[in-house]
Amino acid sequence: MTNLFSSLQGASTALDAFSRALGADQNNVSNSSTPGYAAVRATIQPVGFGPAGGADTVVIASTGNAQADALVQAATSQASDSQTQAQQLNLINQQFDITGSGGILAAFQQFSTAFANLSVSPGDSSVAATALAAAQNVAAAFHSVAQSLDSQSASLAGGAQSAVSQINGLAGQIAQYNVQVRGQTQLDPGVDASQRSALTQLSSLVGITVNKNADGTLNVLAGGSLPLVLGDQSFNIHADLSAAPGSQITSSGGGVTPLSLSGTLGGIVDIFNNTITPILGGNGQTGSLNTLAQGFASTVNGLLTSGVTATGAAGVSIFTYDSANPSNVARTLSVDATVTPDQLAVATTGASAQSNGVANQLAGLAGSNSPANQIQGLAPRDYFSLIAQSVGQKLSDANSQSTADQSTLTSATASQTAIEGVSLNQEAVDITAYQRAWQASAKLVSVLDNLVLDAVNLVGAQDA
Amino acid sequence: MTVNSAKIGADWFLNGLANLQSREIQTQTQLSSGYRVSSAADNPAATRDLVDLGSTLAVAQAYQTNLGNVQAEASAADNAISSAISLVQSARSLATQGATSTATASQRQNLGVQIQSIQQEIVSLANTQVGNRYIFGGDQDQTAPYQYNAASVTGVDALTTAPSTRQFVNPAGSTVYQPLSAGTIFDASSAGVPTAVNAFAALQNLQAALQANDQTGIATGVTALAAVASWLSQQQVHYGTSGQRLASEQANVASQITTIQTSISGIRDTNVAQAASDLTQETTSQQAAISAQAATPQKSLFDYLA
Repeated sequence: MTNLFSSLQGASTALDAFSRALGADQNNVSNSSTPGYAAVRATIQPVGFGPAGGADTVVIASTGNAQADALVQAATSQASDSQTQAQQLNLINQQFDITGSGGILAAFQQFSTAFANLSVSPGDSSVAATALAAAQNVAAAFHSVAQSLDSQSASLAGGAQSAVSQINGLAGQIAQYNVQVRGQTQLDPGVDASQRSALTQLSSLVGITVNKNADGTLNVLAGGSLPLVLGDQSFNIHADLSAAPGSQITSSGGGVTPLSLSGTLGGIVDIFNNTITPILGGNGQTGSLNTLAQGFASTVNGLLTSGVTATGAAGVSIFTYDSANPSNVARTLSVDATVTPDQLAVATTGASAQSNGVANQLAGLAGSNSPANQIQGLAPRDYFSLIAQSVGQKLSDANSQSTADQSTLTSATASQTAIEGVSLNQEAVDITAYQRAWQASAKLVSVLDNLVLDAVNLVGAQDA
Repeated sequence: MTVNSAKIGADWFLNGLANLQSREIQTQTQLSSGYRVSSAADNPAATRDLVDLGSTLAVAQAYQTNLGNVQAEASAADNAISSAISLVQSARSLATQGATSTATASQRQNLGVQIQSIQQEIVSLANTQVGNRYIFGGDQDQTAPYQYNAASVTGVDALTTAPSTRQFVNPAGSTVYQPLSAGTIFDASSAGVPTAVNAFAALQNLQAALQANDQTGIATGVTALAAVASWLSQQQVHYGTSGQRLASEQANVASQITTIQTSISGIRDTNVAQAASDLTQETTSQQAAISAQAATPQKSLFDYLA
């Protein structure tokens, strides 16, 4: 009788084990498309029909693989970074037309043509008015580019705040999941999937390093050094793009601001620091756009003030700008509204006086190889080329990088899916096997139950 | 370990499809715009060349337009001087008639009236305009340089005295044309005193001699007009030479523009045949990928177990 009861207990334990294994597989099938879900695997220990009967015979474990997850998170961060940079660089690149159909280069060309025309008719006030209007177009072109880059900077600052807000929200969620994980004795696939999904979302916003603690909770660092989550505690990060590089992103948990953050936030910071600021100025830099604007404007003013008007009057400057702030020239560049066409001093004086001497110099200024007219050793239009080429090269590189990063992400995701993903075919095989095993166990329980009943009846008959 | 091959395959398929679509859009843009380089990002290394060539082209085109204007000016000046030479020859012929001993005082007065008419015509030539510019006006070409004044010593009033310092230069900075002023051509003087080749003074003196029935003065006038005609011919040579230089520049700049446009086209324009071939290949690849993906079994074992 004792053996019969022991066998009955063993069979019912097996029935429970196969039920739980079936439950795990059903869970896998149900969540095969759930973001962040890692398949769980039921490992069934041999069921004893002897004294060991009744022990826990099934172990449910996640297939989550920290290395595969880290690769996907890194690839996600990098793909978001390069995609953000490509999008932002595309906007900047549009400001530097190299075909002469618009922008600064077209304004330079119109300026050159207008003063070439004025050199033919230096006394014609209508031609002089056109030349003055061309100078206004140059100022407007610089102003327009500066304004667009300013708008983009403001948009980037807003984007950084938005990313930081999302990062802080996700860090809070992960800390909450950590609280739940800490109290678990068995894996909760739902919590696990939510936490993994949050980590993936977080990695698209900023590069993260995830470390698992002994109690199952996770520590998450941004950029490898800024604490976001330590156990059940989350730390808010703050973004201030106007601060010096290295101090723009800080965490309430302390830590050193990393040089590279990666993710959307990293892309934003990178574009702001390494592309927009070197062009537009700020953070102690003059900005190549301001250097070009000041170089061109001051040379034009210098040539005009060295000349005389048709009536012999001394020349006046036409361009005005914020000369006290070298990083504010392009924004403030304009043509003095009080200057009239007749005040354009396009004649040179002295031994080799020419009534159109200054006009001839201004017509050739944009491409001038004269050291006096050059900006850092380059003709104004070549200096412009340098800026345009730099932006174009960065965009081209970012596009290539983005494509490569997307492939890397696909590859990393494929590896992760191969390890952690749900295979419906495998689940079908497992479910069928567990179903049959469960049915067999159920049959065994039924047989044993009948045997016990018969044994009890036999004992009863004997007693009678 | 189990592999969800359908999902992995779908991820790679979508990634590949996105790359193909990106390339296809790029090729379509190149075909529709006609340009394979529309921005610096399309070919960063060619940026400086494109900017330099585009700017050089703009300068050359402006130069070509201005050359046309200057050629018109030089041609008008040449014609005006040519007319002035003819008028001086006519005046000289009239003076020769008046210088004969048989000419009466009345006849000389009539000849004087004709000389006066020639004076006015030459003043008119000195005030020749092209567009709104007085081409012999020197640096003050918005104002007529002379007006006829019979009471003046030279028969004219100089309204402007500006020299002509304007120089028309080519994009390389070389002077290709420098106009002359009416003062130089028709009103030559030294230290404020008319020289022997001063057309206005010669005609005024002749006219005065004819009016005064001064045979000696008339004979002097005939000689003076010969010198004036010779001087004017020299000035015409200046414009003739300038005209040739300008025509040469016009041919050069036209050739230069063609060369620059060809260079720009070589860098910037779409190779239509290549792009069309690329587009066909990309479209075919895309269709093949979609067909292959469609042929991939999408069913799992569950579908067969049911």
